[in-house]
Amino acid sequence: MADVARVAGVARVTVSRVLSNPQSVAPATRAAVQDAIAKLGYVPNLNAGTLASSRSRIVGCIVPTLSNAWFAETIDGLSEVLAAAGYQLLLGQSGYGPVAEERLVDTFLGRRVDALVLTGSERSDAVRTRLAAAGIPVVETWDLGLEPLDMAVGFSNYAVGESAAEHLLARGCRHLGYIGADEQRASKRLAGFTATLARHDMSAVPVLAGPPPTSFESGARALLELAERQPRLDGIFCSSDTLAASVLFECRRQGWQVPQKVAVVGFSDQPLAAATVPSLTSVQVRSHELGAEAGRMLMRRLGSASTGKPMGGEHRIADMGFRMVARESA
Amino acid sequence: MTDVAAAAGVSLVTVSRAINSPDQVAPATLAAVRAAVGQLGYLPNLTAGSLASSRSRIVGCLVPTISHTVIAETVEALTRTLGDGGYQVMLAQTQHRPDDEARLVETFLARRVDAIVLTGVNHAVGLRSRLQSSGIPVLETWDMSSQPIDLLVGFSNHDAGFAAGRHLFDRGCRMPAYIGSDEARSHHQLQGLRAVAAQHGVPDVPAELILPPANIEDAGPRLAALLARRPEVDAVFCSNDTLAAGALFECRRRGWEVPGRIAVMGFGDLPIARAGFPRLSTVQVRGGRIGERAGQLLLARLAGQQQADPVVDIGFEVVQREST
Repeated sequence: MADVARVAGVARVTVSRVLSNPQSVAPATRAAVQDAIAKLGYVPNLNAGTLASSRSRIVGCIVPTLSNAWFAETIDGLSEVLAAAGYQLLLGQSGYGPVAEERLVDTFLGRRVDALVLTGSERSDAVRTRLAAAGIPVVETWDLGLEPLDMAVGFSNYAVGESAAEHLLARGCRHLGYIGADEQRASKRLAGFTATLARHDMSAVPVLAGPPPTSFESGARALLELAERQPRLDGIFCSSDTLAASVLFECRRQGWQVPQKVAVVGFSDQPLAAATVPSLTSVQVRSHELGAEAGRMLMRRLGSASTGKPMGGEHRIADMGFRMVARESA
Repeated sequence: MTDVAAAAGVSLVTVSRAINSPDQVAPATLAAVRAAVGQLGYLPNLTAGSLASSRSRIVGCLVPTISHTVIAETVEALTRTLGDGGYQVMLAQTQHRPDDEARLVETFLARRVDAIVLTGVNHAVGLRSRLQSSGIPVLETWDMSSQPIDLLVGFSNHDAGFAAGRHLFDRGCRMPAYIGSDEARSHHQLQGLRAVAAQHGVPDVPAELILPPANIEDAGPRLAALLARRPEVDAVFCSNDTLAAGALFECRRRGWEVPGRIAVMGFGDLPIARAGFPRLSTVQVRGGRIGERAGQLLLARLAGQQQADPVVDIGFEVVQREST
């Protein structure tokens, strides 16, 4: 850094300022420093800064798997907000396993991440204790638990299930089925779905389509099982659009008219939902916006990297809600 | 760390080894150290370790966008493979902007990442020399080049386009067209398609190039525009299965027989290709395999092994189903 200062003819503190907060330096001076940096091939060590300021400017994010488009989109949104604020994103996949999540949390804390973004609201006591002790901001996403660790951004999976049931009942469906992955958040959607039906003295036949992530193959298989167990089947709530689309494809293969014979509701409103024939009715959650909001909550807490000042206006729980998008399939 | 060693009844160096390379420690010892770590709530400071050993154990990974399914598959496998080897992935998205790629590479270098993974082989001017002088392993993915920056795991998009075109001509098509996103890898596919078309006496391949990111809902209108402009088109090759699925849905909506009126071919072999109706013919590329091989290659290089061949061509395969 001393070399850069000498070549640019400025003080070291000016070089430092150009690196950490370029807007605070006069344009001409900034240009001179940047020229010197380019000429010398100088690369500032952001990690050294970490130890001095005890800020790593790294946020760790743990998702079940990137193979699920929902989580990839959430990371996309989070990454955009973090990058704009001068933070980097460290990525981990738990494979839907609490043990793997626990190990990743330890690894990330060991790397002195400034904050963590986790998926879901269910965690082991070990992780809760560890995170409380670490004292860094944590945002839980994709669900709203009763007692978030710190901050949470999501929606009620239970209410999603209720809404799907109400939509199918309003269409006149009376013999209902459910297809979903064997996973916590999907189970909450199923619980909301069956509770609503129970209020109308009805029940649904649930078929679990195996462990997540759900696939097109498992959806088709589950539909055939469902049709066998519920011969008068006239409405299905699928816990993902992938499952719902594969149900549509299989219905077409079997010659079952959608929605005349059987109505289909999906979940998450992927771009696929609008494109299928018939187009898919789905419960829209904004995956990308969930990640972006998690990022904004963290940045408000941490302050932007350039000023180091918290931005204020903090809120702990962001209920992003959901919306039933009615199309042709139900 | 001293406390952990005392509690576990082992030496400091054993604690360090249990944290950094658990495979080298006897299972019973490892369990004792982990128990002590759990009991004391000790968290090794991996950042301090990185300054001492000048290893951050972080690999920087640059992708156009993680929302792109095939890219997500690659990052999924890369993160998993490197994670098993004790490395974490730092992710950044270029949003298809070459200038952003160069800027993000600078950030990665400043973070002292141990290696960098890039998507594609076309980069901003100056990035190649910048990376080569950085002294860390660099791995390019998802395309092929005779002059890789360093390591490369991918396949030839040009050859994939050529093979897709040859398949369409073999199936009796006479006038293929192309729908893709307006970026280098699609351009390479289109060049391959044009090369095979030229061999069949077709001097021009009409193309619709979509400003990235290209989404499923873009495909229908583009296909309609293409056929309105060039009614003689009887086949369309799409730069990914998602666009191809969008094209298939548009054909259904308009009552165009597939493949009778128009054959549709995808790229990637995503699950939707096998599930759709009709089932989609496609060029199978294993995105997960790219990430896995990339991770293995980097782990070997970071362990000090030199590769005999720094380029891994994972190839591709034309899969014929019902849409061609």
